[in-house]
Amino acid sequence: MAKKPATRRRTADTKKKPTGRGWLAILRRWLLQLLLKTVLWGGLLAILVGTGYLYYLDRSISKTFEGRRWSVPAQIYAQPVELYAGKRLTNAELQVELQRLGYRQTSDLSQPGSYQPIAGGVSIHLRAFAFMDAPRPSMRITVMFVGSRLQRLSYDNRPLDLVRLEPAVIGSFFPSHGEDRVILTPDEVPALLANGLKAVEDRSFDDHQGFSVAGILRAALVNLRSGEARQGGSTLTQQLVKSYFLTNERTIERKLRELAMSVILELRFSKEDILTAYINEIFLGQNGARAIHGFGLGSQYYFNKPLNELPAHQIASLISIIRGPSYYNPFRHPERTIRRRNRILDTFLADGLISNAAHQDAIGQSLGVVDSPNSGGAYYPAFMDLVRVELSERYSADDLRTQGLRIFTTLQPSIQANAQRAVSATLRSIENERKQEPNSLQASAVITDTQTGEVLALVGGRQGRVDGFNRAINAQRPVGSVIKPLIVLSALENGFEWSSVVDDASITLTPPNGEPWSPRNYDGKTRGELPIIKALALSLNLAMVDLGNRVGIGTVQGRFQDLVGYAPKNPYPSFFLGAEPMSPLQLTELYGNFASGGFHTPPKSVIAVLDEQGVPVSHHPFDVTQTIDFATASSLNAGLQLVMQRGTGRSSPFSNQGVAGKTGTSNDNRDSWFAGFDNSRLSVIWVGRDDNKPTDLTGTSGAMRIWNAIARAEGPDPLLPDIREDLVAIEYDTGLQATSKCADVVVLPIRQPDNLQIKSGCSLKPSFGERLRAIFKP
Amino acid sequence: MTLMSGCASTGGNVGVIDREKQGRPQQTELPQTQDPQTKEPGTGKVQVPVIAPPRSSAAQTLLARANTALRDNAPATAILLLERAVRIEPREAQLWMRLSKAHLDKGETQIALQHARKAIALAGTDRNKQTGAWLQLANVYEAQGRDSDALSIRQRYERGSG
Repeated sequence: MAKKPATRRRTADTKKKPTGRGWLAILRRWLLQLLLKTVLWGGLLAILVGTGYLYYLDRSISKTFEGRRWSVPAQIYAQPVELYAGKRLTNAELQVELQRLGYRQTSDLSQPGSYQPIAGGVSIHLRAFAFMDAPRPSMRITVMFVGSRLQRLSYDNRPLDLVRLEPAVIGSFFPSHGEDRVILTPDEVPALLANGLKAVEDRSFDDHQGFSVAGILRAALVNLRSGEARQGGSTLTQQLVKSYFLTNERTIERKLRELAMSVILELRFSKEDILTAYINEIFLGQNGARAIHGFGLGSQYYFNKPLNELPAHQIASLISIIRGPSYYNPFRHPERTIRRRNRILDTFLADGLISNAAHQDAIGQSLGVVDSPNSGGAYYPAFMDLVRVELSERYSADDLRTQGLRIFTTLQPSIQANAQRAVSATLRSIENERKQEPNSLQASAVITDTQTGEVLALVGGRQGRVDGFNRAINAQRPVGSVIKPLIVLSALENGFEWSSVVDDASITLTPPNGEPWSPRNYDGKTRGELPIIKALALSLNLAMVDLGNRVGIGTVQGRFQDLVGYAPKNPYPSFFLGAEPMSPLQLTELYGNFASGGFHTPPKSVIAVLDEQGVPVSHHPFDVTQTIDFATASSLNAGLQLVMQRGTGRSSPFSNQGVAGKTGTSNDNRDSWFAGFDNSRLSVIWVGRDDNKPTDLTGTSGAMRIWNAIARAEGPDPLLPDIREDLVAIEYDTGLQATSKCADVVVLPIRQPDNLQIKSGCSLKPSFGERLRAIFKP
Repeated sequence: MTLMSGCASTGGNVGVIDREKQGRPQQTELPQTQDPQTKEPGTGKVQVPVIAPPRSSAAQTLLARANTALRDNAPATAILLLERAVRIEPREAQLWMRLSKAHLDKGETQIALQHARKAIALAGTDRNKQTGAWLQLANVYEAQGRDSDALSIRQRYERGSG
């Protein structure tokens, strides 16, 4: 018991009085403990932070990978070309269509996507395609022609009633960051591409876990030997990571992040997934705002063919672009691209991916890219604007950009091409002839099917394949005299006849709350009293204002609203002369009522939408609503045919070929319009300047010339004469009933012929011959 | 996928496909031989006169396939086939008449009504086409509950066609 305090005291003494060595030991121990604790806690913290960071990386990589893998822009298709006996189509035109779709001329037809001209026709190996109503397998057909008609179709030596070419892909709705792609599944990736990519870009792809030290060393050695950057050290996985997540900055931090992400990607996904993602992701070129991503779209963009139809040299060309889409741009630097392509073909040979013979053949090939960007496949930005507007009411922008929808539209590429050519060539001619500043004129055009309202072509400006202001949809210009048929329609519906007399005389109108208005005729002259048909044919302003006043502006504007679905902006009588701004598309909607025989057929561009699996999502049926009594619409169209035959349209070479139409010119010749139709197509054309300066053009000398050029390329489809009992011959100058023997007559429907006055000196009794024919009439 | 169209109504002018009936199209295009029965399969309500077939064998084939689809209670398929036929022969009244029937079968009476009117407008002086188109309009009126309008058409045209 007595020793205990002594011990305590000794200890206390030791603390109180340490030796020098003891102090050092304590300090050392304390420092060691501190270090140990710091390392321990620091390590723990590092592990926690590192784990958190890796978790974050893992989450973001997985999310992005999955998201990007299935984020597919909607694909937009044109109308397929239907082939059937009797169709108006020449052998040459069919071959142009095939070339447009990227079919190649061969001698054996062993592969889909090929054709072979034969005597009197062409044999085709069609590609398989899932149409909106039925899938069609790949098949060989023969098409025979006689003159300008398709004579017969056969499949496997059996007659075939009809078949479709697959529709052209005309674009896609890619996201705002501009990335466009056509997604391929692993099955759709050619073996040569997959193996070739590994051979050229990443030899140890099948073995490494995201990065390859050996690969980096090998690349360094190769580059050192060759004196140029022939091989990259990054694996395909690293390239994919870089494309997905990282920038081009060259820092250690970025490289480490790339390595970590690559390892995570390898741990999370299969090699097949990663390779397919790479093939769908990699950047292959820039086309304006559109970034070409993936080999599926790259193949279409550069070669206008699906990837599975590319020969070895074109696959090698695409692989060559990866290294530098700008440096190895095949359009701009073909020689440079061919050199790299050939080196890649050498690698293919060395790795046994292609035979000696195939290598020899491939080395000798030209690049084989399409003529220029945008000529591969098809690209119609103006029409796509219309599709976008139509779909935006029912689909979100995100759906259109990511859900892989397949959108079938009404566009007919051959008509579009003809219309675009007509616009560009005619404007050039007009500028040359009139010594106007080159490229000062602009134009737009809309062409629809008269019965269904489907938009077959839409030209937004003189440069078709350029995104820009879409004049067909967005330009609001005074329509001038093309509005006049609306006045006549209102008149015919309110007791007037074609023979009714109107007064072409000077007039001053002062509407309530409006300025006095004194319209004039285009030539400044007045013609006095004359029938409505002549006033319309000669497009006489004063006579039309007289008629409009007698019918009433409320009545005319009410009909305008019935026919286009909105009220006019201009409430004043100047509306009668077309002081009403409209877009070519709106005017098409108005004239659709006439061309269809009295039905409101709003221009439509979408037929159906299918989801990525090909299941129909929505169908946009024909939209027709009767707005005009058929007899009245038919009567109006008879008058519009006379406008072409005798009036402002008479200088057209097609004026006597069963076409109806009306010209229009706004004040000071700022806007030149033509709206015309035949049996199957309605066209509305506008010509003017973007700065709204005068053009020196009338509807006849501007817009109608473009229509003439389109009609020349397409060939008119004459309106069939209506068989009706109320046709009466009236004198063109007076509207009096007459015969061709005693007057210059036109034949038009008259509902109340008994009210007509007979021209003095005209005998309306039938001739002996006519009576004889009447007797023997069946 | 959350497509906005998925909740679109069947009204207006955008039809949402009936997936139960439609699904993914199964029938392939080959070989396309003409169905001899292009005549109105009959609704039990009206006796439509025999109408001359469309001019082209292509439109005839599509019409025959559409008639088969209508018999199989697949109006959505019939509509796609008939619209394809209309693109080949836009002024053939019979095609619009059948389109009207297909939309009626699908419950789209407003579209059926306008398509029947279109058929009447295009029938011209062909008496059988006129009769067929008017009787189709009568069918639509009946579906809309406009029985007296339907009856007056029937009294006029069934007597005429009989």
